[in-house]
Formats: sequence, C-alpha cells, structure tokens
Amino acid sequence: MTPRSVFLLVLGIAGAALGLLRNQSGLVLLSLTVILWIVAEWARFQWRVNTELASLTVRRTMNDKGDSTGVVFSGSPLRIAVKVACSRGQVRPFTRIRDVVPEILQVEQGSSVRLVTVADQLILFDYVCRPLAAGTATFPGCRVRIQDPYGFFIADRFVVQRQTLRILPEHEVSGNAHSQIKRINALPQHGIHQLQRAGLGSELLEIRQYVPGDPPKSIAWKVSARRDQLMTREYESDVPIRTVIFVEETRRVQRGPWGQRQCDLSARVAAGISQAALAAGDLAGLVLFSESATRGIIPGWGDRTLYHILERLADTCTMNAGPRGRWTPQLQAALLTVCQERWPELLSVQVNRVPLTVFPLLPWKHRARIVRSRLAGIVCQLHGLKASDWVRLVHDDEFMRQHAIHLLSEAGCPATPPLLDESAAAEVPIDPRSLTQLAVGIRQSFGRARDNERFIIVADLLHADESLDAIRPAVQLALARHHRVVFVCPLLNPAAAKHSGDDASRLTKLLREAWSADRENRQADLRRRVRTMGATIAFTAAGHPISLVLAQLQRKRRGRAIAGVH
Amino acid sequence: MFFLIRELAGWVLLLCALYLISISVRYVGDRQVVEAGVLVAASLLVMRAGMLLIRMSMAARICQQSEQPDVVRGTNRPQ
Amino acid sequence: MPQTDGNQASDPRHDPLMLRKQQYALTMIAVAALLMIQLQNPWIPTAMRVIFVAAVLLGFLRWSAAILLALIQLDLLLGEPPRAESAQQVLCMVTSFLTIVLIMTVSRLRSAQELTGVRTIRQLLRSTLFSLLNPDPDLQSAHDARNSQGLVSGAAVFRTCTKVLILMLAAGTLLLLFPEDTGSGRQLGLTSPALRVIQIGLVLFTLYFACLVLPGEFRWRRLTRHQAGIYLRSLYVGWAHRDLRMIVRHRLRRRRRNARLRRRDARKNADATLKETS
Repeated sequence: MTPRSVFLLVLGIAGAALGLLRNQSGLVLLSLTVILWIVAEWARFQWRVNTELASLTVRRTMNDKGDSTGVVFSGSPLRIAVKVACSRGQVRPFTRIRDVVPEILQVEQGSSVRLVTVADQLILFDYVCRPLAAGTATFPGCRVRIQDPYGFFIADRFVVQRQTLRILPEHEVSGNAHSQIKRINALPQHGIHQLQRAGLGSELLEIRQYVPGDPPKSIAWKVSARRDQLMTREYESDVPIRTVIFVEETRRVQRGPWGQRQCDLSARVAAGISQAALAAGDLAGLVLFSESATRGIIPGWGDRTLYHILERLADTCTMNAGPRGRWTPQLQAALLTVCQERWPELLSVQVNRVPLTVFPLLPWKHRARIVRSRLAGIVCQLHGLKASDWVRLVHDDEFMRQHAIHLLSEAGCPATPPLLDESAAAEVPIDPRSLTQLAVGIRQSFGRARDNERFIIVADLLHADESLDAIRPAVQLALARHHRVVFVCPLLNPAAAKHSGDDASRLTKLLREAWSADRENRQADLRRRVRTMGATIAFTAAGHPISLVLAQLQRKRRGRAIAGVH
Repeated sequence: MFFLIRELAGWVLLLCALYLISISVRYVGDRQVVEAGVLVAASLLVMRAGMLLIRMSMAARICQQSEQPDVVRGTNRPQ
Repeated sequence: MPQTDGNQASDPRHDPLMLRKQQYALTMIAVAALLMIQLQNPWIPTAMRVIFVAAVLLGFLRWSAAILLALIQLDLLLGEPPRAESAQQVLCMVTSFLTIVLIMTVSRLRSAQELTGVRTIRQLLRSTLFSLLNPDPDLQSAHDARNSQGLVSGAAVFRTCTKVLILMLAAGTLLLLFPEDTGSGRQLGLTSPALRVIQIGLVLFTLYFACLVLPGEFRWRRLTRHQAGIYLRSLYVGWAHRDLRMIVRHRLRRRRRNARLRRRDARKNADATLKETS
C-alpha cells in the first residue's frame, strides 16, 4: 500500500466512526464508500498481481540472436530487442517494464524502459547500447512494476532472463606490417624477418676471412682474387619472430569507471599488438602476471590464437574482489539500490522480517539498522550463508563489506566509490611482488624461447621507482640472449578536479599543470631507467592509436639495427 | 508429511479464529461489548498463530521442492 | 497484436491524452458543482466558506486526494445536521458522489503525472490558451476531430460514475443492514450510535480478515525459493536473535582485543630491535 491509500483509508475509517457517532448519514456514506473503494481496488490489484504478473515472460535478443551467451567487441554497437508477453490476460496500463542493463554497457539509442499505456498481450521495445570496456556483461532480466490506476498499490517483480555477453577488447586491424619501400633484393616471406646474424638467408651480411670448414660455394672468388687471400660470404638469418606480451592482472588496474581503467587501456594495446604481430605472420603469446602468480598462452599462429589472447585479456578486465576498507553508508545505499533493482521481492517486509530490537534508540540509526538487517538477509540467502551469519553480517562491518562488494561485483558495478574508499581511489604504484612475478615470467619465457624473441611489457610503471630493479636482471639477461625487450606504458587521461565556482577553474588548471609536470618528470625518469637496462619504452594514452605505437617500435628496431645494436 | 500436518494445524487455528469472531458478533448483538472485545483480541492471536504455522510449513515445502539454485555462484567469495 | 506507438495515437478511445483531457473536464465539473453546493449551505459561516473554497482549489491544483477528502469530510462534520431531513440527505448524497468522483479523477491524474510527466492543470490551461491564440489549421482539425470523438464516446466518464454509484449502493446497503437501534435505550453506558459503530466495525474487520488471509495464502504458495529461504532464516534469527547477537558480539570483542594485543607486541618488538641496533 502506498501512503496515499493509507491516508485515504485512515480518513475513511475516522470519518465513518465520527459520522456514525454523530448520526450524520452523509459523512458516513462518503467515508464508507471510500473504504469500500479501497477494498475493491485492492482486490482487483491482487487479482492482477496473481494473474498478470505471475504469467509474464521475457525474451531478449542481442543482435537478432536469442542465445543465452554471445560475444561482442568493445566499442561495437549492440542491438537489444525485448519481448514481454503475458500468457494469462494482458499487460495492462500503469505497468512499467525496465530491462536491467549492466553498467558496462551504455545505452545510446532508444530506451530500456517501457511504460505500458494501452493493454496488450505482447509488448515490444528495443534499444542500442555499446560496451564501454572488455569483460563480461550479464543481463539478469527485467524489472516490472505494476500499480493500480489510482496509485494505491504498487507491486515490484523481477522477471529473470539471464544472458551473458563476453566482451572482447577492441583492437585496430593493421595492414601489411612490412615497409612498401624496397630496401632489399627480395621481399621476405610472410612471417619471416631478417636477423643480422650469420645464417642461411638471401641477403649478404658480411665478407670475412676463410676458415677451414667453410663450404666452398660460399667463397667469394672475386674478392679473394683482389685481396689475394680466401674470403667467405656470410648471409643474414631469416627467422620467425615470436612476440610475447606481458600484461598486469592485479586489482589496482581494475580501479575506475568502465572504459577508463588501466586494464581497459592495457587490453586494447595488447590486443592491437597481438593482432599486428599475427597479421604479419609472427607468433604471438600472452603472459598475465599478478602479485602471486603468472599464467599465459604459449605463442602460436592464426585467428584461434588471437581469440584465445582476446579472451584472456577480457578475463583480466573482469572485476575481482575489492580491497579491504570500511563499511560506509554510501556502500549500504549502493547495495540497497542494487537489491531493489534485482531482487525487489526479497526486500518485502512479509518475507524479510527483522527481529524486534530496542537499540539503537535514535530513530535514524534504528532505521539504518533495519535496512542493514534486511540487506544482510538477502546476502545470506544469495551467498548460501548460515542463519547465524545473518547476525554476524549485521554487527561485523568487515564481513558485511566483503560480501557486499562481492554481490555488487557480481551485479556488474565498477570499482569506483563507494566500492572503493576515496583514499584508495588515488593512483597506486605497482606492487613489488608483481614485478617479481614479472621477472619470473620473463625468465620462463626466454627459457622456452629459441632466438630473437620480442618481449613487450604492457604495464603502468610510472610510480615503480626503485622497485623496477627487481626486473633488471631478467631484462638484461633477455637482451644478452639477443631478444628484444620493449616496455609500453599506457597512460590514462587526467581526472578532472571536483570543484565548482570561479576559483575552481583556476584551481583545476593549477592542479592539472602540477599533475602534468609530475607525470612528465616520471616519464623522463622511467625512460632513463629503462634505457639503462638496454630496453626501449613507448608511452601511449587512451586515444593513441596502436599503429603509432607499432610504428614507433618498428622505427626504434630499425634504427638500432642500422646502428648494429639489437 | 510433517509440513502437511503443520499446515493443517494452521488452517484449524484459522477456522477457530473465525468461530471466535462469529461468537463475538453474537455478543455484540446482545450488547455484551466487553466480552466481544476480549474474544476479538483472542481471535487475533489465534489467527496470527495459525498464519505463522501455515506460512512456515509452506515456505519449508517450497525450499525442499524447488529446483531453483539456492546460491548465487561467484568466484573468490569470502568464507 | 504487438503494441507500437503508431497504433496508440490513431485510436481515440485508447488515446491516453484524450482520456486525461476527459478526466480534467470531469474534475473541473465536480469541483464547480461541489463549490456551488457548499456555497449555498446555510449552516456554514461565510469565512469558513471562503477558506473551504480556497483550500479545495489548492488541493485540486496540487492534486492531493487525501487533503480534498479531509476538507470535505470536515465540512460535512461541521455543516451536516444530525438526523437530517430527506432533502438535506439527498444533497449530502450528491456531495458524496461528487467528492468520490473528484478524488478518483485526481488520484488517477496524479498517478499518470508521476509516471509519465503529464502536465499540471496550470500548464495544460496555458498550452490550451496558446493553441487557441496560435492555431495550426492542420493540427487543429485533427485535434478537434479527436476531441469530438473522445467526448462523444465518454467511456472513461461513464465508467467512473458507474463505479462510484455501485460503491455508494454497497455502502448504503451496509448501513441499512445495521440500522440504528433507537428503542433499546442505554445499557452499559453504550449509546445506540456507538453500538452501530462496533457492529459495522466488526463486519469490516471480518472483511479485512477474509481479504488478508485468503489472497495472502494463495500468494504465499507462489513464493520463489529465495523468498521462502529468507523467510525461514528470518524466523529462526527472530527466535534466537538475543543469543546469536551475544555470541557474535563476544567474538568481535575478542577479535579486536587480539588485534590490539598483536599491535602492541609488534610495537614492543620494533622498539626492542631499534634499541639493539642503536
């Protein structure tokens, strides 16, 4: 019952009692009519709830496919069509149907909400949305709210129609990686690169003095005649290049709103590099490192390897459990909102009963305690906890926070406040344990490697400082074995300061200038550290096209090759 | 079986509450209002007890018989 | 047939805008009639009448059904004579009828406004005036055609009035079933009107009982597993709440004490190490 119906009922009862006591038939008639009107509307509404709401079914198609799972690329549009049918009766007016869209998707055209104004057995509506980031999006179902025409009664239900969407990171499709300018006698085969070491290629590397054991056909007779001593031709090696991409898979890269996280940018860069490498016929592999372990994909060829890499990158963008912190009123409000949206029937006072307590005495604290107790009940039921854990959830803030964050993560909420403490939302340097695992991963990779591997490390190391020395030995060893090590540091755009007023623009400008200066200093410092290791580094921002990064890497490689340095 | 017995007991209590209300209506007709008031209060308590028994046994039967998954599956859930 | 926006606008019987306009017209007629009746009431002083008119108009403009009902009930309470004559009773019945119609339409328009952002009556009047001053010939002719069709059909008006009449008949029947027992005198300090209140109250209570139990139990059988589980858990927690709370609080206190002791020990060890090294 809504407050409107309660007020009218109370007025009706009071009026009827007073009218009967004072023998005022007009007042009695009016008040009794109001009471009977509310009772009649209630009975009609209950009938609607039991017939109409109970028999609603929802069918959703994503890009004209009604499967329970699907795959889409981040940034590409997704057409959703929803069909709501009522098997018993019709969907009557004053019914509001909302298709719950995961937060990782942004609705661009149309609306996911439909208000029914004309009774019909079948309701159709559609909208277009776009994934903001890679990961997994789950459509849980539709939220249906019906109310009577007079606003006396409201009933909420959640009609489950679960569909999971796998969102792979978008990547730029690069063309031919080879230069169109002919610098050499013959163009190499697809997937073959020239290495400036002695081998069995077709391009001349150098002419040296003959040593016993050299094949006679390699003797350069004309040069030998000129020099009056036997000279041997040496050719370059034609070798395939293996690219192994190292991507960070920790909680710190998952902070921020969808599409603006470190992991989104890293996934995009890594996807672009692997696609470019595979398009050029090279082998590509992936290593994901975290604070505790490394896991990866052995380098391979073809589209299958590319999709395997994209799926693993999408996994890194999927939300993990949040860091430790405090239970805040904002977190409670966020959890309440999600529960009201997904599980409104579990918040009903008839099924979710709160034990009667006197404390806390203050009314607002008492109300907050009741809400928390209800939420604890829902968490208990959904996570399969014991009944005694219900009381623990009410009194233990840390326990409640852990479960609340898991519930919110499963519901698709991004790692922004209130899931994160405000203090924890600032830039966090990479954990030294992650760098240790990265070193382990590099050693494992060149332990399996043959020759001329390319290791590309995609991680934000701006705040690494001294802890970068943990990977120095591994990098230098890799370089000593004639492999190439390249660092790609993805940079996020600066966040706007939250201020208002005339002073805010000056303050924001000052803050941005200070932040930019600090970032430039850190970039220069990082560049110097990486160069002292002997590796190369490229910085890429969110809008920086991958092709520029690849061209930069190519230029550096060719420049060093010309100078005789790998 | 146990749930069914409890549900039947709840319905019996509800019928008793209705019977008590009918007695109180008769009392009011005979202008014995105080007795009627006491009976109405008693019938309310009996009604609540009966409804509690019915709802509890129905909820237990639904939990036992339903095929819906009990737990929202998730990874790395804290224990 | 699936619902689309195109079908909605073409059928005037189902046009939401048309139904709303009918309801606006009905409310205005009801308010005007009520005011005319109340202004002619000889028992009410003039000041009260002015206040009443102002309050009704305010309640009407702000779409508050409860306030309107309260005002009209107050007016009847103060102005209706006890055991009135037939003519006065007929007037009261007409007042009740108009009041219920008014409250129904105000409630309906308020819900529509909350759901769809329907304009308030002031904005509607403003837009009507604007369209009268700047008529678009093509739009106006279509608008007039829809208007005339809607007024001629009048389905929403007829349905509302019929509903009110049926409810008033039911209320009247209930009153006739329990007439005032004037001949029995006072017993136990209970007047016959008070007895009538108790009798009708009991009937309404039985009706409430039936409405609560029967549909409630029917709805209870359609619980989901999650709802059933949460209900059983809440029952158990309710019964054992004091003991469980005591256990949980004891464990929390012990955990905090252990954490405090560990921090103190760590600080002591750090100080001791510092002293040794220095």
